[in-house]
Amino acid sequence: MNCEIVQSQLLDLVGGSLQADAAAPLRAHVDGCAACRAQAARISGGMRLAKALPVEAVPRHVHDAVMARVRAGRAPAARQVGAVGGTQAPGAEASNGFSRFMAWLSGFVLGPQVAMAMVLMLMVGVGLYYLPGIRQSPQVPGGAIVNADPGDEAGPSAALEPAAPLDLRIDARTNRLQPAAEVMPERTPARPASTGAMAVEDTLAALLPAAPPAVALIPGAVTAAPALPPPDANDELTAALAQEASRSVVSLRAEPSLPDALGGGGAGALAAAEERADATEGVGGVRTRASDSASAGIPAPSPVAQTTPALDREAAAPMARLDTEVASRRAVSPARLAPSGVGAMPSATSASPSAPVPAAAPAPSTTTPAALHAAARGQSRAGAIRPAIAGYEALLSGHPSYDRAPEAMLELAELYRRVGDPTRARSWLARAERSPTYAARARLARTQLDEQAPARSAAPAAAASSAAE
Amino acid sequence: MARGASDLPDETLLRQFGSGDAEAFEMLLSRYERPLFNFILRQVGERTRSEELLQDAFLRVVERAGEFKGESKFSTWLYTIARNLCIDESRKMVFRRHKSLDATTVGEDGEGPSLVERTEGHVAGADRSTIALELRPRIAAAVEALPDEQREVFLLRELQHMPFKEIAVIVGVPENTVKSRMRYALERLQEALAEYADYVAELEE
Repeated sequence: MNCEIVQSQLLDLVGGSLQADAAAPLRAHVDGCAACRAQAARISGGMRLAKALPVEAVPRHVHDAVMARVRAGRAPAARQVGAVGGTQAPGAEASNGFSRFMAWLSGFVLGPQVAMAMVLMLMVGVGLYYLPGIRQSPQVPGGAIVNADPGDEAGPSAALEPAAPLDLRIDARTNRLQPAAEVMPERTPARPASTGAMAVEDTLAALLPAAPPAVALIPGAVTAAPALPPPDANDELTAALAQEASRSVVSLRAEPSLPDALGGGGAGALAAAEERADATEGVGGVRTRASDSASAGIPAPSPVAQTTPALDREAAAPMARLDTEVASRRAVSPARLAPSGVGAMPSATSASPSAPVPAAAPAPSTTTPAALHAAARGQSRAGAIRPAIAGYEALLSGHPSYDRAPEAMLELAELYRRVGDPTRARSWLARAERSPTYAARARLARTQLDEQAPARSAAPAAAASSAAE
Repeated sequence: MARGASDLPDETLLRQFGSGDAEAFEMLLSRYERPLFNFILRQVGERTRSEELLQDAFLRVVERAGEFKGESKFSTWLYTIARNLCIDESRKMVFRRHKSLDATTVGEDGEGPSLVERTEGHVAGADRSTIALELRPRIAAAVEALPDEQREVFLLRELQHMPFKEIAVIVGVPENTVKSRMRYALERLQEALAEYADYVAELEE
């Protein structure tokens, strides 16, 4: 038996808790081992000292305090034990509920979660109180309910008020939104009664080049129609044009396909130009509006585009709207731009029908179909309908493969309509329908032409009946 | 209270208290209050605080009497509660003031010979009653100076005469470990109070 085993059992050996048979070999080892004997002596000495450890008496007040608490809390203790053991002290119900509630409350009052919940509830309550919809409406003495003043925080913003409806108009010619510059509120009252007829006129007129008084606004370069005849040789044309202008309202829109004849270089930037003949202003009363020159980045009419003394021009202001009252039939003569303005003033724009009549433009060559087309279009614009028809016929018969033949057919059909020959007009429209590009426009024109025919035929009948009466 | 309650086991008394018998609890209190108080006192070192902790320990017994399932001895449960209270109290204390064996004793001015100096050479002819009065606090101080794990085992064994197996349950270590701690504690105590060994031996004789 080694010392380690003996020393592990010395405590029991010295304490006398070992049986005699188990203690004998240990005691024999200790008697023969100095180290184990010394350790046994220390343990024995420690045990003797431990017996001298003072044991303090419990103060009586401590005992009484514990028992007082026990007697005061006997019911809760009995409840807890009873909950387990199935018994409960009778007669403890009254104080039991209150004590249980107080114990439950005291367990939560100081809880941080409860504190945070209270703060959160307080914040929500304050927020709800200041919501205008939650506030109570003040009661007036009469009993009427007065809505609470919502204050600035709940009032509808002016920016949220419904805006005025947009004045959007669809252009029948292009099936697109009509630019604001083209909206002409005064057009409707100036129209004759036959709306359908006017629509046909507008549609077909849109296919034609701009009438001579129209203003061509071409940034960079402004050119006049090259096929315009000189004024001295154009009295007949101007008279016819004035008559045509006074007869109807023609809205001209320089489309991208037209500027080739009008201006050449400024095809993409051709601004809208309108011409309106106001029947109420007498014969030849023509009001010309050049719109949006400012918005198009074009300055107001420059000195190059001078106004004749016979014109009463209504100068527009910042929007550069130019309303010009043409007082005489002479004034509706084709507007021509001074040759010096062609290319010489790239930034200037001549935008007035009263621009000084320029010298005759150099006559284009009549051999090419484009030249023939331009010439016919110029005659049409000048009011020479019959010569224009002849020109178109020559163009289409002599150059059947002309790339812009369908466009010429549409223009020719319009001229036939003007001269009262709807049959030929339909014929040319039918031919124009073969072109995929112009088929839609041709069909539209033909449909309107068909609708116009009964209206025109009915008008004389009505007049005859009224005359009979 | 039933006749012969002083002979009833602790667990029976606790059940009687659970049924509303406060006297049964007082019996338990009378059985355990003194050793438990000394256990706490030697662990904490402050009388007033020890009294408070003693009350807390018994009040916890009152509060949790319903949780006692009887799977262990009542003494084991009670001392486990008290030990946990002492551990909590020790953590709250910044430091514990252990009286050094070399520290000066009761002199008003703090001067005078230490207890070692006073007991040296006095065992044979000195006033034994005086030495006995001095020994008791010295032993108490030596016990309080033991390491915590040794002290608690020593106190449970010496104050409650608790079996090592039950001490192992309370402390939460194997029984052999408990015995080792107890042996170390006794040896340390003997070494600390070696000068009193003969005197104590004479007292036993």
